[in-house]
Amino acid sequence: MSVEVPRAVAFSAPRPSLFAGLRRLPKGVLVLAFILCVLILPPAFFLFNVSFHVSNPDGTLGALTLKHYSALFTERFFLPSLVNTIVYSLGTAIVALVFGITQALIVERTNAPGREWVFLGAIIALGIPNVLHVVSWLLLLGRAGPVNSALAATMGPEYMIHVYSMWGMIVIEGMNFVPLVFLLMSAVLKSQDASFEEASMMSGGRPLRTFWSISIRMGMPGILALLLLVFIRAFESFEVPALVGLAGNINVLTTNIYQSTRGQGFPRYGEAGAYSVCLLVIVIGLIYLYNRLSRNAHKYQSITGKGYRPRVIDLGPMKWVGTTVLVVTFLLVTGLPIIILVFASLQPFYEGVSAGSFGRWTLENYILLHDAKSFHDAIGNTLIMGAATATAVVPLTALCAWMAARRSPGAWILDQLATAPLVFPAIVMGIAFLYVFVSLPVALYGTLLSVIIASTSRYLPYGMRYAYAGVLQIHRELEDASASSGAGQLMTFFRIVVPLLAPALISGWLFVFLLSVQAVSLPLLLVGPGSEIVAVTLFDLWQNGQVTELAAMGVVWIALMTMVSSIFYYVTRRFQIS
Amino acid sequence: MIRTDAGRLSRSTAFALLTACAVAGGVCAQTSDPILLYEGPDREQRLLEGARKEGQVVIYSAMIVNQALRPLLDSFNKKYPGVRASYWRGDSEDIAAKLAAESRARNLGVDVVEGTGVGELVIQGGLVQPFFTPEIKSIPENLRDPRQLWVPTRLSYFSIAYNTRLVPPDRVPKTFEDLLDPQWKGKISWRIGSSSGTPLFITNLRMAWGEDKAMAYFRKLADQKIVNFGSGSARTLVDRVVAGEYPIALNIFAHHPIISAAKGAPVNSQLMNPVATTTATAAIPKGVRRPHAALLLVDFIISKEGQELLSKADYFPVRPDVAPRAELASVVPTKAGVRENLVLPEHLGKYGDSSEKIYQDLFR
Amino acid sequence: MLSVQNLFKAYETRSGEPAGGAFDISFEVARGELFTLLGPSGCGKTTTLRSIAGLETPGSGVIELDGAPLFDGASQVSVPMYERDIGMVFQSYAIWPHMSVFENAAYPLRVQRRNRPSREEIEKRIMRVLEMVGLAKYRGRSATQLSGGQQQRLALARALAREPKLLLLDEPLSNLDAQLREQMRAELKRIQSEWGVTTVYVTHDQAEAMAISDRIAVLNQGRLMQLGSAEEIYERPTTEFVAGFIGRTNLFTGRLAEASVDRGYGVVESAVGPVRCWFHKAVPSGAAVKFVTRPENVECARMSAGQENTFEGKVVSRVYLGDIAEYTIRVSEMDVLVRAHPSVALSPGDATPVYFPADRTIAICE
Repeated sequence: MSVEVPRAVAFSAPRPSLFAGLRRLPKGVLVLAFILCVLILPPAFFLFNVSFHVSNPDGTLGALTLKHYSALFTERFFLPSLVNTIVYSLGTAIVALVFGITQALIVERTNAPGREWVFLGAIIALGIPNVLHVVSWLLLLGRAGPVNSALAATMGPEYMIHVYSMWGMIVIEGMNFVPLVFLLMSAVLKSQDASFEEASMMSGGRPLRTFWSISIRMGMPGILALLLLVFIRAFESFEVPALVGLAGNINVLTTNIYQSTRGQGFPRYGEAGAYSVCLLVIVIGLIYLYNRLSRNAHKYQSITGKGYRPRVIDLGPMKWVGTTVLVVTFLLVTGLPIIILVFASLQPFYEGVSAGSFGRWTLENYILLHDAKSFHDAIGNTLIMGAATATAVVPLTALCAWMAARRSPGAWILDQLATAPLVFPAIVMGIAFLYVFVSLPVALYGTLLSVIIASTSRYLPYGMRYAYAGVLQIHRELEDASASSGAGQLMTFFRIVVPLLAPALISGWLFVFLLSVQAVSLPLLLVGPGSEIVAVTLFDLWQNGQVTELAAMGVVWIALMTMVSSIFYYVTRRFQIS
Repeated sequence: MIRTDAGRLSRSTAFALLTACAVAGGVCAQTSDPILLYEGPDREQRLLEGARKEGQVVIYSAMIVNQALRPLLDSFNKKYPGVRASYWRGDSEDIAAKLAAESRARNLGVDVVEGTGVGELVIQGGLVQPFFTPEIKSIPENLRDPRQLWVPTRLSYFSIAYNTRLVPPDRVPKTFEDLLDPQWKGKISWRIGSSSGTPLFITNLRMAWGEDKAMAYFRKLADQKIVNFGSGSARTLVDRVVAGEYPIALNIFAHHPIISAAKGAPVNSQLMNPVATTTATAAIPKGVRRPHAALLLVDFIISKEGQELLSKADYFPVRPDVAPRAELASVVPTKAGVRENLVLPEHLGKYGDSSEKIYQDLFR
Repeated sequence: MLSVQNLFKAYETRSGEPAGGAFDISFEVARGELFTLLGPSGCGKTTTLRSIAGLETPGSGVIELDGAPLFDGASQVSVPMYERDIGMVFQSYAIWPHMSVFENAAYPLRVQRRNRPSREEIEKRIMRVLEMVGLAKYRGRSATQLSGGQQQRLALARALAREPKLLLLDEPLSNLDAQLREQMRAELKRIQSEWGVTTVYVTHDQAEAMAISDRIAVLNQGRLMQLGSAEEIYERPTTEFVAGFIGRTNLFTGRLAEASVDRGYGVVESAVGPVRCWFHKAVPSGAAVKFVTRPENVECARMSAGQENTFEGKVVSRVYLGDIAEYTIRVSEMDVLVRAHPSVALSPGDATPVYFPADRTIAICE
């Protein structure tokens, strides 16, 4: 029988009030938010606090004051430091982009033979700690190094290059960032839709014209975003300015911060705090700019996702030129540094590369390392720290990413909190945590645990990125099906989400591990006897002038890390994670 | 230590007490051990027993690792097998900063701090405590601290270093006034950020010449646009001179160039009247965890045996009964016929800030 | 078994504009019945289904299953989705790729909290349901190796694994190709009636709905248009939308000459002439009226002079489709679609009378 259906009447539903109010938030969100706050808020708070108070010699805080900030802006050195920082960052970005984009273009868009190996090269580069990279370049380009020897021999001593200068900083740091630029640019090129170019060519545009008007133009927002990213990273970097800049009396903001913790007398926390806050504010502004830029960049990418990969340019006989460029870049970025390190590790004292030096080769540096308990300790500590950091970061961010991606009420704050550490330059975070640990009544300062805590806080955003991307790839309905089969939220998470998320989580773990064991500026101020880690020890060895020991230690460490990064490479390839 | 009668004090009160202690500067947890000032006949015996129980000793030192610190500690370990000595090497400022941080954080990992310039920094910060060592009797009077807060470990003489290839023998500056010659403009470097760098240079001349003459000199020197080297130790700066980065470096340890020259490096020292002379000092922190082992180590460093090891490492011993290496004799001011000006920790402490200010105003 | 009363759920776009939903939907589903929500996309059928499942929370209304409330807006009762005794088949099937066929089906039993069945019992029950859907011999296979149809059957098996009180199907056949769709349609109906589970089925395909449903609810723009059996909906549509949505129809407008009565006939003056129609509701005289008649009900090429509802027409076009012949015949400036047996052989331009049987000419009384 048909049923009478009354005419629909205008209906105003009562406002849903079921989930308003903080106490109604899911318990999981509250717990996670609490953990994140504990990791992130104390250093931030202490940093701001200490910059607004007079710091007494014994470390306690005195009266409220603005003098740290006023001193900062009135002293003569702030502006030159700022200018130096800008020049250095811009130069680095340009160098890195030129090399990295060229590499990416050759690999993705031409048929140069051997181009598949470049990815492996980039991964090996990931395994070399920044500090070793810098040191090896200084060995190569320094007064006693092979480049200057060759120049002096062929053209005369006046032509020798002086690496402890601005351009030296720019070149070395630029080389450091080439692998990163290459990987990111490859991703951009891979996702370009061929149909745009094909449309151009069908309309009569020749390949070169197409390339310029269409490919480059469309890639421009992505390139600009990349430029800004490298700029930001260089802006807050520490190793190159500390090892190269300071020796050439070039100050940038990060080394100013560092100097104020160790200069005459006791750590001038107030001054360091003020510098840090300034740096922080600038970086926040830059990151905001970057987010705007990259959002625009996405507009230009393939919308439907169904586009074919862009066509490969056949270089003909010129393809060997392409290969040569790739080989040269690899040598510059990765090969030469490793070679010079091996060289130096075999010498009793560093004397560059000369015919005579071969005769003096010795293994005593390695023997020294082998016997040195402190070396074993450092390696052990570093591996523990890396593993602990990664193991803390990955599950935490997996849960946060899942809740945020699934729009649990209030979970967006988890996303914000977990990504917040990105705005802190590493040296700033190091200082902030130093101050926190030193002020706590608990004996945390100088322990490995303190380094792990700081490290976890710093690398949360990276874990979040992997986890979030992974969660987004899991179709919502797979979880709904679990719920409608009677499984509660947690059970769904562990039985459905985690197994499907596993490849992303493993990649994230390895990535965080690799990053955390290389960091120098974060643990530099936090380690003590018993908590030595490799990267800081390498830094110290260079400062103490113990070059050959450093080289031997470096070679061993690179070998270890290359194994780890090869596993990382294999995992990402196998599971197609970007 | 805080009495915690668990039945009476609540946890929060105990916590508040602890925090109050921390805020008050930590008198609570840092009581001074009587062994540090003990002078009885069985001192050695007590030290040995106590140190064995403590099992290890940690020293932060600014000595060069390969030539000095390692051999010194290796000998110590051989002599006292139950007490394992380990080290951390850093510049004096880093050592002071680390001690400050550890003290404040109540997590003292170090037992002895040693270095040129460490002494005045840690004394100013109130981080060390007085101690007695019988070896002090063998040290000249003018090198002792009446407050017993430090003992001298090695003497240092400061001079300029120059690259013999870039500075021919007939043009080597021999007096401070010679440094004002315009041909050296931009070619001189000195270490900043260390109390044995620019402040020592400035304090030395202020003490020796008086304020007026010294200030006039400094103003003229500022026109020479001296290069400020901020990254690395004194040894590293000499290496740079060897490498030809800077033709001349001021206020470096006078024996470093001699040692390098012996290996064939193109470098040499030049003493100038008056020669700034300092002594590296060793001190024991307040609240030290292993006082017996600390005393044992300090005793060893300034004992004849220890001083001989240091002498072999090209340092200048503080004991008159131990001679420096013959090759380095040319650097000892009295033997070279140059006046020495002893700048003790308290001098550096007294003049330190004002010298630093002169540097900031004129030379930075 | 299932009772939905005054269900209300509104969606808004980010800028606050209304973006669909379900408005004041009410219906009852009897035990063992296969009830279908039918309508075009955006009509609110999926919203309603997901509200019953617990995947959405309605603004207001009451949903009761077997007497117990699943949702009650007034008293703020909302049973979480994982505590509702419901099995659901999703449009994408949502088969978990990291589990085997057996594990996928057994999942609901494994995660059960109260009275979890033993391993032997799970084995027995799952094998039974896999047999029923014909996947028993694939039990160990990885779920990623199944074809579309097999995945759909697995989804069904999983939904039925714990013998729920209610089965929900969200457009389960829309991802299959045409031939498979018909096959699976029959399968679904067979399993549902064998199992005897109360079922709510959502689809936009009216042929599908008519083929398998016991009763159909037609929705449009969030509102329930008509509820009834396939026959009722098809033969006696009560709204213009329903008439047009189900099958094809001829729509006429006109004015009622004299008042009609409930369940009676009335004459409507229309463009084609006076037509006698069936009224299921009384309509006052003089009112504007629309009426419909299905093409297959219209007769032509039969000489029935003087009969009511017969008009002169002229053939405009003919489409021969093998099993029927479709004619478009113009009657007084109106084009009428007529489906006739292929043996009726008229050509364009021929004159033919057109007859609307009164009992199959339905007036729309909204």
